[in-house]
Amino acid sequence: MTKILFVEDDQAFFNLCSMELKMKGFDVVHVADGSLAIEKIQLEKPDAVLLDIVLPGMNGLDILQEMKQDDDLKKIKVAMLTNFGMDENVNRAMDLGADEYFMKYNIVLSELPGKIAMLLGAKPDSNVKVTG
Amino acid sequence: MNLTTILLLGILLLLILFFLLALISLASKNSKKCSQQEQDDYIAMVVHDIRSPLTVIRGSVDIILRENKSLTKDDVNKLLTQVKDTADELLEMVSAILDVSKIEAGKFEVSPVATDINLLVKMISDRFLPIYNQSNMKVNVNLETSLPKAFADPEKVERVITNLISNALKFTPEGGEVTISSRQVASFVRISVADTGIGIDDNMKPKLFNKFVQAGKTKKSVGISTGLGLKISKEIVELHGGKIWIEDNKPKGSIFIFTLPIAK
Repeated sequence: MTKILFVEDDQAFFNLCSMELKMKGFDVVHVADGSLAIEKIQLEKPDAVLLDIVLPGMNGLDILQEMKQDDDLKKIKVAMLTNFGMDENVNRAMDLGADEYFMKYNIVLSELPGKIAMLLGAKPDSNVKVTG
Repeated sequence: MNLTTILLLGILLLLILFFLLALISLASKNSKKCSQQEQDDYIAMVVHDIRSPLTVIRGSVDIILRENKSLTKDDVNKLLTQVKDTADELLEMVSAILDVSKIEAGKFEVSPVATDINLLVKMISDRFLPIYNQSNMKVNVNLETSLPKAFADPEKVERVITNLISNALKFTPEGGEVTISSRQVASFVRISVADTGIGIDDNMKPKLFNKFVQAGKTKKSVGISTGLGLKISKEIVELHGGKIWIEDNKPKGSIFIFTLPIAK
C-alpha cells in the first residue's frame, strides 16, 4: 500500500485529506509537530510527504531542506500543501526540491489522491492505483 | 444524509463569510490608532486565518454529498461535528471583531454584580479538560479558599479567563504545564494564568494588549486566533477598575495577571 506522511497541525484539515486519501487506498501517517517530522519520515519511510509550511516546532521549508540534504530521504517525493501562496515561498520550495506546490484553499480535495498518484508516477487515467 | 442539514450548513457558511468580510472592513475603517501597515497586515492575517476553516467546511460538506452511500454513520458524524466546530470558531472570530468595533466606538459596557471568581475559574478550567488531555498538559488550579466575591460582570470576566487559558494552551508545547491561581490582594481579587510555553520577548510585551497582535505561531488544534483577545480582555478588566499585565514565568513561560475589585 502506498504510504503518505502528512505533516499538518490543523487536525480538521488533516482528517479531511486523510479521509479522501484512505478512500482511494492510500495509507496515511500523521505528524502535527514540525520538529518530529524528520524522525517520523526516517522511521516510516513513506512514498510521499505532504508538507504544510507554517508548523509548530519547525517550518515546512526547513523540513524540506533537511530531507533533501539526507541521502536516505532526498528521493522521497514531496508536495507542499499550504495557505501560503506567495511567489517567494513557492520559488524557495521548488528551489529546495519540492515536486509539487498545492494551495489548501483552491485545491479540490477529491482530486488530491489523483494528484498524489500522478506525483508517484501513475498515469492520469489510472484511477489512482499506485503500488508502493 | 439529510439534505436540509447540508443546505442549512451552506447558508450558515455564506452568512458567516459575508458577515466576517463586512466586519473586517468595519474594523479596519474604525481603527484610527493603527497605521495603514498594521491594518493591512491584520486583514492579510484574518483572510489567511479564515481560509483554512472555510476549506474544512467546504471539503466536509463535499465529501458527505459525494460519498453519501459509502460513508459510515460515524464518518458522517465526524464530518458534521468538524463543520459545527469550525463554524463555531468563525463565529467567535466575528464576535471578537464586533466587540473591538464597540470598544472603539465607546459602546462596550460591563454589568458588575457580586461574583464568585473561584466558581467561574473552576467551571472554565473544566471546559478545557479534553484539550488538556489531548495535549498531555498538566493543569494546576490553586484557588484561595476564603476568596471574597468580586464586583464583576460574570459573562465578561468569563471571556477574559477563557482567553487567557486558551492563549496559555496555544503557546505551550505538549507536555507543558498551566497554572491558574486566585488570591486576595488588598481590596482586589487577583487572578493569574501561568504557562511553561515559549515566553514573550520584552519588546513584544508593551504591544500585546493592542489589537491585531499575536505573540507568535500558535497550535491550530486549539482553534483559530484573531489577535483581538487580549485587547478585549484589557478593556473588560479596565472597565471594572482593575488592571491586567504580564510577567515572566521563571524559568520559562509567561504569567498573565489581572485584578478585579472586591464586592462591597
